[in-house]
Amino acid sequence: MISDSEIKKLAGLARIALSDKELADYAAKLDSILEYVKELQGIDTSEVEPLSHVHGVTNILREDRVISACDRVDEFDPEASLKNAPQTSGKFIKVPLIIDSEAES
Amino acid sequence: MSQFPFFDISSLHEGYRTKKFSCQEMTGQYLRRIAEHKELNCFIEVNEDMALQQARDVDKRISQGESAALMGIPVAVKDIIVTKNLRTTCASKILENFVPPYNATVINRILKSGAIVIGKTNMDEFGMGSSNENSYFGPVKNPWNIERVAGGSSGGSAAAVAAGLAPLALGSDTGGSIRQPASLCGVFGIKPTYGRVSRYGVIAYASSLDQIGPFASCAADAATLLSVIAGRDPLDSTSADVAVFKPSQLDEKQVRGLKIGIPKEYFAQGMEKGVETALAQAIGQFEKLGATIVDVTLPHTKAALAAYYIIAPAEASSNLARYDGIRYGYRSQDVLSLEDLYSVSRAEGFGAEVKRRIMIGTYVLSTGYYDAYYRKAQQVRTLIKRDFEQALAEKCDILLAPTSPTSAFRIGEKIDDPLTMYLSDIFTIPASLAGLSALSVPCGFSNDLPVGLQLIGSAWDELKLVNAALAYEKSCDWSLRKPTI
Repeated sequence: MISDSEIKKLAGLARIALSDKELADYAAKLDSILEYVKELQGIDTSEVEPLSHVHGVTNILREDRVISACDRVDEFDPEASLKNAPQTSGKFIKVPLIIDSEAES
Repeated sequence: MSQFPFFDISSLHEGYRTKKFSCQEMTGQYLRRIAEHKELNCFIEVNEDMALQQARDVDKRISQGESAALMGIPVAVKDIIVTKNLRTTCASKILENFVPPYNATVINRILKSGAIVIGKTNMDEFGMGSSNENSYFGPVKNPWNIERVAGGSSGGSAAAVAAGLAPLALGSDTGGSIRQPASLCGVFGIKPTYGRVSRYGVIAYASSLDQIGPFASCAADAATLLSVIAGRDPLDSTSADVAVFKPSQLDEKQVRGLKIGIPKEYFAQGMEKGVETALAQAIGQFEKLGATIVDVTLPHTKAALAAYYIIAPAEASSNLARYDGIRYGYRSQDVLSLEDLYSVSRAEGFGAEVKRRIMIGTYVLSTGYYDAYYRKAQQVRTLIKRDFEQALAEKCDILLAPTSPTSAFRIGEKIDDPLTMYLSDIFTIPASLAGLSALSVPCGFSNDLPVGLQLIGSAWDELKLVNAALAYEKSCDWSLRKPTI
């Protein structure tokens, strides 16, 4: 069973604010899913390598060279990108204050 | 010769060539049909203005004698694929107002080939679901029975093709999200080999599994769309440099002498009676076509679902960390601290199933649990892959199995019980974990609802699968039946 403190910690790690009622519901559903996936424990994998890529590919390397922005097929428009920001100020994205100004002085 | 609204590519091309209709007229007709069938909820965004503009350009290209595989063909695009200047939501509140500044590679490829992007289709939020009920924009209705689910997560794409709202569609498949809705809606759907199609501009769910693939009302059209989008893309390092087949290579005669393996684990239990009957008939049909049927065993099949529900949420919890309310996407108002901005925006922006999977993923990756869950699941994944490799190397050329254990279930039937819902993908998940090619072909009806059969092949063996599907399709009339809507 996932404990209250464990589910709260998880929600914190996942950065999802959940109410107490939601936490209880998530705990119950997570329990049943985790119980189900435990069936893997019965499979002997002592000599099995974990799969890291289905085709066994490791590193994909390419030459590191500078290309001009207009050689890229996707030519990003910074203004169009900024349009998706929830809050902006000029060419900047606005966020809440993260440094306490009194503590700084 | 097919008819509107169930045109195939060759009939549309014939109409353009003989000037029976223009691409503009045809695009207009499909747009009208989409507007007439809003009750199906297939589309999140219809690309009305831009589609007609694209159609005008295509008419010009046609008049200049240009030809290409998708010239003038309307394509419905799953809303997980980003489209420049066309809202892309991934069926999530968190991306409700997101307008991408660029096109995914698959979009650039179909446009170059002359396709019309007719609209963005509904789906389970971030691809997480098997019924399309996990959409912020509400469930897609199955065109065969609007009280039933269309399957998921690419439910809108599957239903749009089934209902004749578009001749072709693009979807994505992580654990069955193309094949399962294709089966439930009675259309063709291909999950290409992992790495076959570029994912540049595809919103990530589980990166070791996600693939983009086609929906169509016939095998040849699905293969044509796949041949256009497939192939190495410098913008996606996971796209493979492997030669892509050409539609002209399609040959249904290849079914003769083809060794088809029937994995006994897929026929063990829990299958709807009508699905079982349809599958048995289809196997007999393949024998008549000259294929050899052999029994095979894939011993680790049963473990696939559990491994998937560790691996996919783990990857999702990492991939979805980017939605933080800062640079794009939903931001909760009235929060004071940065920490609250993240966690309240995510709590309000994500739906229940997405939050559930992020939580599971966070759990299985957290200190102390990693080895027991994630590492274990990846080891089991190796065993599942070995099962397939052995069968496909020693026993048979391709495998045949059901796509889904049931036909389309009722909307609301499984939504409160995640585990029961997860079981809908029990037959599609193993091939995903192994990164193989697979497709779903209509093979009959159960209680007046479509049934699909799944063909699974080795990596890069899509042509073999399509050839078998083509031979089967031509030997029966399942895919000629259309829903009456």
